[in-house]
Amino acid sequence: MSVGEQFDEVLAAAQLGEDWAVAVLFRDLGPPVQAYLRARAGADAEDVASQTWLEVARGLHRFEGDESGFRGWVFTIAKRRLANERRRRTRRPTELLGDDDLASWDDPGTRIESDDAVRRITSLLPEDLAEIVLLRVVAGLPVEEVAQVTGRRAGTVRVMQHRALKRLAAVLEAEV
Amino acid sequence: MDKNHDDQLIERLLDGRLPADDAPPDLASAVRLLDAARATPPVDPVVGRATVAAMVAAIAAGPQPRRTPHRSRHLVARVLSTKAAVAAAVLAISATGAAAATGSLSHPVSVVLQNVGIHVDEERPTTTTTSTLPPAASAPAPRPPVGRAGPSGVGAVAHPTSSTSSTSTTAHDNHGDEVSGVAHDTRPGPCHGRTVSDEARSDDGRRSHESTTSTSTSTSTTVPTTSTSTTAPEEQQGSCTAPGATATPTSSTSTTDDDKGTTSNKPLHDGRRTSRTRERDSRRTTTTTTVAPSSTTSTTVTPTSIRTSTSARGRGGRDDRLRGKGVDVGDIGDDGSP
Repeated sequence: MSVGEQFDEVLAAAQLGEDWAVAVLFRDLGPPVQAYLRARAGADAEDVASQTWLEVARGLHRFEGDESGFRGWVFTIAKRRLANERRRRTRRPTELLGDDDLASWDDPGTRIESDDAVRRITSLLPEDLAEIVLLRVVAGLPVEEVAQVTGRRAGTVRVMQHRALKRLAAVLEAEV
Repeated sequence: MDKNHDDQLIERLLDGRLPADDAPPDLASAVRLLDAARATPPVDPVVGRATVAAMVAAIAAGPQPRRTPHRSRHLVARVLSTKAAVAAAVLAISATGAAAATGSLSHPVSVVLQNVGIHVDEERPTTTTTSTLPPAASAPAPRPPVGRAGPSGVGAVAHPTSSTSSTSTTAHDNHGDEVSGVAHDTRPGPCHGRTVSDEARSDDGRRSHESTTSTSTSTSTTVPTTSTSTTAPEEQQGSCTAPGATATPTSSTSTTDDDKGTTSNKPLHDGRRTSRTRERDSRRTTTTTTVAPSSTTSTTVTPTSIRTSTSARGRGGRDDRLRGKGVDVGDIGDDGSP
């Protein structure tokens, strides 16, 4: 799902504070951001998502770029807010999410299925590989944007995603 | 397994462009898991509306996009252009002031500045050269309004060989007047040219008159040009040992300058200086023909002592110099008395 050719107009209108344009951007990126944060932040995902969108709104007038760059910029903010939340959590430890908590975040069956899939990915892969897969699959970022978000080179991202997929395949093949 | 094929395949799998059914059998389960993770559900409408409203409020509270940098660029350009204009103006004024202070300001600029009421203090001698033709040339040569001093700061000095009587007036240090005074003081003879030349090369006049007031009571003795022209061959030979040359009776005629004197040290404007020089020249011309022993405040000058206008302060030093050069300057006091 993407805004497509209308992205420039939508972005310009959103930068001027047009609510319809902001709604379009949020409808496009809200679900992957929340999915990414649910997989990474657990119970604090909703708070981190709210902080992420507010920071996006505050810095929207400075953004210049295409839709792919905008997606990468939003996930960069989400990743930074997630890192801040993790530091705060280490100072004030809380219980991590369990399976029941993850399922009870919202109800729809598709969400449970999606969240379960995301949780399986994060549980089966190391953190760095899981992040690469989530950014590529859930966030829908191309390799170059993933490289910028994670601070790695594009070649490194390609190698890591290759390794992640092979590892998932091996584990799932072994389960079967 | 071909690595390039794997990379392309994995790219297509991660992008969702390859369905799980078309994927290799060993990757089918992994592709299904990725497809399930990719199918993110929409955000709850209530949460979505609240989030959008908060975002719109945050955007409205923040700076407006694309106008601020545009405006700031214009502002920067305006500030820079204003600064550049001010800097250019200050630079031009400073350069003009420096040129005026060092005396390197060109004459037209000086005239313009003086016309607008800005005093330009020309420290270098401003020479007014008056060429007096020999008697053979009946018509006087046209006189340039204001001459320019040479690099040495000395104007055209009276030189018998050129049959030119030049009056060098200095606006501030009066060096030219010193030279002129020496030219008139020195007896026409073999030493005349050399003495005047030495005086012209020296900077004594500058030093001696830097703090001299303009209250010199000058006694101007004019050597007629006819007499100087006659001594030219001797001086060209450079024989300065023949003191026999004496001033002709006409040349010893002394005339007293008017109340202010022609050698005022006040910096005068060129126009005033020129008119005063003309006045003096005309007076010289007349005094050469009117011998007036009884002229008021006249100084009886012996043939061996011809003195021209000197300031009270610079006279002693110049007399010493002239004596050192073998020139008899006599013992005329400041008031003209012997």
